[in-house]
Amino acid sequence: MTPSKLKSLTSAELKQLFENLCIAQYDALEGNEIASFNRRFDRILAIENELKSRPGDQRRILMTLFGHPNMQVRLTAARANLAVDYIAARRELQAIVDEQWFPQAGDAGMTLWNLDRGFYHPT
Amino acid sequence: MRALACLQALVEKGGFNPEQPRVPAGSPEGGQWTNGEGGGQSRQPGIGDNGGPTLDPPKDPSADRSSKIKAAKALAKAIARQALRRAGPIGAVVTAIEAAHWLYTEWPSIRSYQDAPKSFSELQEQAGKKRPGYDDHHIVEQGAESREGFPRAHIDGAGNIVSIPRYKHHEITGWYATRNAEFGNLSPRDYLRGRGWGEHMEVGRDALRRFKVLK
Repeated sequence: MTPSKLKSLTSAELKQLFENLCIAQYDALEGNEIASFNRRFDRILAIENELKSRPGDQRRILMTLFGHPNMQVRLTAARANLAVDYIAARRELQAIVDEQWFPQAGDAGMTLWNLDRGFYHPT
Repeated sequence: MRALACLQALVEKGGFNPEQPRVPAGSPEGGQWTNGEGGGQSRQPGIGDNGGPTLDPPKDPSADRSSKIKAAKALAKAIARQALRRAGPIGAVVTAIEAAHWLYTEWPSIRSYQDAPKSFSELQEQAGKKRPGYDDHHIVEQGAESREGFPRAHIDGAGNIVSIPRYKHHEITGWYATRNAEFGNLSPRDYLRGRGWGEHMEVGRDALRRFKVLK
């Protein structure tokens, strides 16, 4: 989907698209289809950038996906909000770690480690 | 872990022994189970075959090997979650095992997935033993030999190889290949390209910790 097409969507529609793409990524990981996972990465990033560009940084809308039944949705929404609400996003990442549902729990743990060692500065 | 013991009993009832010796790697039958007299079993491999004892064909012939492994991994995770939550009987899981005979071949991997994290020396001690359900894992990836020019002796050195549960190995390898923002929108593998041994090792060891393989 092109950036101009994304601009024509409401924030709620972008959130729905984000959710669908994350679920597809979860399924791709379960099937060890790494290329399929990575193809969706750019599309998700484009959605995050579009939401970020909207007044008040609309990535915040993705926080409503915290606690989602799909662990990849939770993980991606938490990461997308690290620069918006660090405390809440970090809490969600820790909750994913505590759930011990892998690989997302491991991935969330790596994000926390990268934050703690000052390697990753979310923007 | 009562649930796991229950599954173990079911598997043993089916005549499957995950401790049975296997033919060493390097021969055409490498990895296959053997009777301990030096040769792999001579038989035609069937759907989902991993060289183990003869099993009944799967009930669902449409299920290919990757679907079976996917289902087995889901089962391994479900058991781990039940254990984590101390959620009592896992009747549905046991029923799944009984109904899906083909899952027996994945039993060693399902079982090893339940391992508690181990010390580095414990993981190192088991390397090279080719235990069913476990893989030898290179902390600094084997591909780094050609990419970064690390000496083969370092890649294959005792300090770089650990024996880890197979499905954990798949998860960590998958993590290395998937893109994420914290590595500049690259995969960790691509991010590490051209970087030193120490950084490869630091990331690799922490991945083992975060995926609950290493204490």
